[in-house]
Amino acid sequence: MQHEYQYFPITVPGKGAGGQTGTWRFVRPVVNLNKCIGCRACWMFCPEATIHVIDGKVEVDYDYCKGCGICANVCPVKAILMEGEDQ
Amino acid sequence: MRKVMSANEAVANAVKLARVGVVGIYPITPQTTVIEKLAEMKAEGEIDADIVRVESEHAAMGVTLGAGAAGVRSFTATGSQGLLYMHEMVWWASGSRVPLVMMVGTRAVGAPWNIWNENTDFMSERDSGWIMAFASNPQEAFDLVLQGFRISEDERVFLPMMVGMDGFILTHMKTNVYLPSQEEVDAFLPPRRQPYVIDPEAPIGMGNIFPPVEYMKLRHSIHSAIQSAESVIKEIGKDYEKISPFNNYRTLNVKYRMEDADYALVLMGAWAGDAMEAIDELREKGINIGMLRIRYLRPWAESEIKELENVKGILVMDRATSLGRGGPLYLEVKATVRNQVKGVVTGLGGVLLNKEDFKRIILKFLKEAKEERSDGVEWYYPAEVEKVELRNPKDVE
Amino acid sequence: MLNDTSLMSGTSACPGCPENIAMRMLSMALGKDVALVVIAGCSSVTQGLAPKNAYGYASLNIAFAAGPPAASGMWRAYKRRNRDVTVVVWAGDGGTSDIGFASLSGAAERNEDFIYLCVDNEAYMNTGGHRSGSTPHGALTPTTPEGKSGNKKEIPFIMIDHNIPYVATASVGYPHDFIDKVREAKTIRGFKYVHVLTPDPYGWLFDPSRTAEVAKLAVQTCYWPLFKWKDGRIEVSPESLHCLKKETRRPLKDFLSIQGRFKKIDEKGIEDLERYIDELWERISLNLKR
Ligand SMILES: Cc1ncc(C[n+]2csc(CCOP(=O)(O)OP(=O)(O)O)c2C)c(N)n1
Ligand code: SF4
Ligand code: SF4
Ligand code: SF4
Repeated sequence: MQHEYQYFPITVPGKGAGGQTGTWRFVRPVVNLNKCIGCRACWMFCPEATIHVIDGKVEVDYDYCKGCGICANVCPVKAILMEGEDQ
Repeated sequence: MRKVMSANEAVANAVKLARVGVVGIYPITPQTTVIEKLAEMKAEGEIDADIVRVESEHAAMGVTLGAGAAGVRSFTATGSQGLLYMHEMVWWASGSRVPLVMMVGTRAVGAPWNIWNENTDFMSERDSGWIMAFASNPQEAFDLVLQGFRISEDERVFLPMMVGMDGFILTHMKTNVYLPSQEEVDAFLPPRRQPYVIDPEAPIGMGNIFPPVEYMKLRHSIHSAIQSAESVIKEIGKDYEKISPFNNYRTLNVKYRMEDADYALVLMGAWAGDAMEAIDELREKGINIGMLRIRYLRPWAESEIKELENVKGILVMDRATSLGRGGPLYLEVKATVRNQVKGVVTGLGGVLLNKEDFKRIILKFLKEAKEERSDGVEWYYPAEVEKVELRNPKDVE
Repeated sequence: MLNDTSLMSGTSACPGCPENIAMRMLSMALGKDVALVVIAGCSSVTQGLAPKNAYGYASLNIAFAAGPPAASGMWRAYKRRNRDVTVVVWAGDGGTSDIGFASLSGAAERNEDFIYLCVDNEAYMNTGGHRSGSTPHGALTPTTPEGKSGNKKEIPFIMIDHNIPYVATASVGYPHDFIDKVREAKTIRGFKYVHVLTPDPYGWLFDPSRTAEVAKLAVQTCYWPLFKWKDGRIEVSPESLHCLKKETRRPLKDFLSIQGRFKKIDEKGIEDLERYIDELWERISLNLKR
């Protein structure tokens, strides 16, 4: 902006607007790719958009995954297990 | 073109000439004839703006702000209860930094009900981060609304602007009004500019949480923008002379017989007319008094007000109150100059003053000033208050 | 293949947030060219802190009651600028059924051309889970520690009575139904009202891993009906067809017992709720017969 005092309340889309939310996690989703049938239910319900299905393979973005466990809960073949972060 | 019209009609004409795209409307006396006129213009194809007949003033500002944020010039009008009802959105508008213009037809606020003029509604928004002008005749109402779009959309400002006018006394007052042509206005008022547009083309967000220091910086920015508006308003006022015969917009506020004045009367709005008549008569009796009419409450042109320090005594008349304290204008002036300042609160709820009342108030003030006790606030009731005929509210509309 | 663009990871929402789930599904339905109006509520916070924003959509945050008016101004502005943009008001149940109701009703009466999306977690969650007009009978909240007395306001029916072109209910437990309805809404001119149930682990008191499960149970037990209203008729969604007959409904207790907020409800309270559900479905059946 031309006038240095001008400052507007606008923001841009970006990851981590709420911080490095992966640090909130007590338990982490671990995907057993051998069991996974690629149905994308985990992707569909993840509230954090931290599940990515790349070439049919499920990947979790642990930088931001909050460990809510929804993905494990909705997986029809129980391919996701929630494991303690201290393990 | 010159045409006899009321201030409200003049405002509608300014909105038309500014090629406003969206107008949010909700009726309240004494603003109604503005929105009726705009609706009529729309029905007759004179304007192509979207007239959105909303369910409240909160919504009227919502529509106006939404349209502005999405890139279209927008306008609304209200007053009194409506302005108070809108209060949350008044702040949201300035906080959003979306340029837009609002007319405020001032009126007393309840309880109890009273539909007559008083400026307390307008004054109660003075901290809200808007550019705030106050007209004193239909021509000025037109000029300020039209200039308002350019001021509001200036990149050094980028703030909403409200233009106040005394309910009935000005809103319904008819005089000759000079209207520039559409071509002239198009040359004066460039296409809309604004700090950002909410549009999927560039998906920004407006108004999610700003942490403390950033929030404070945003407030600071509004503060600076209001102060910077002072020179912008003068510049635009001068440029306005290209399309208008009036050359009195080179300053924010308006002086009357101040060159050699020993005393100054400070006020705002339509009653300046009666005050000037009173001053003329007192001058004939050798009393050297002048007047400073406040046309902009925000920005508060500190240097213009500070000139009052050259006079022997200052009298500020408010048609508004900060209850328990005094008139808002009085408090502003007092905070600006080193002199003694006397405040008079009067004219509330439609109480009418005539020239004689002004003379009486001024003479009393002069006496006190000579004794160096012209300080503090007085509530003045016209001597003939019992003779003031309160009109039936139904007749007024 | 569905895609989502509306939510950037690392939001400020609680783990398991149903509103985030709904936000992602919204973009699976609408894709690009969307402008959001976000009123006060959890979503004003979950977008995170400046200079970033967790929403991928152009979005205008606005005061509680000003969502529908702002959207009214926006869609008109886009039309005037020849921009093809779907405007969506994103509002909580409190903002919808209480403080923002007049402005919702006003915009519906004017038949403004945008989608109003109510994310219903049945409480003022942002302030701490206080009761709203959408909180069900018997639910414990910090302002109804004895359990709320009185039923949920039936906003979808009230919106039907506004004679707008489209009203639909959905649940985040049934994404495809929800997405289809939002997509359909986009094709219709005028006011579209979509009300999605978003069970909230922190207000309803269940484990956050079960958000989707509870959202399904609400539908299976017929507590929450899935339907759409179009062309003057209700059409019950396949997921809810079993609710039309009382015998085929899953017992309400399956839904209640999974949540802590109903832990103080007594038999009478449960009967009240069951009666409410019976009447809800009677109303739907009556419209079907019309
Ligand atoms: C005028 C006004 N009153 C009160 C508030 C405080 N407030 C902010 S969010 C909120 C609750 C929102 O509840 P709801 O609409 O159900 O949305 P949720 O938070 O559940 O998503 C309240 C009461 C406010 N922002 N504005
Ligand atoms: S645990 Fe929750 S946040 Fe993490 S990937 Fe699974 S659903 Fe997403
Ligand atoms: S839900 Fe389970 S099976 Fe389906 S994609 Fe995810 S991990 Fe694989
Ligand atoms: S309270 Fe509920 S809706 Fe609000 S952020 Fe948390 S999980 Fe989401």
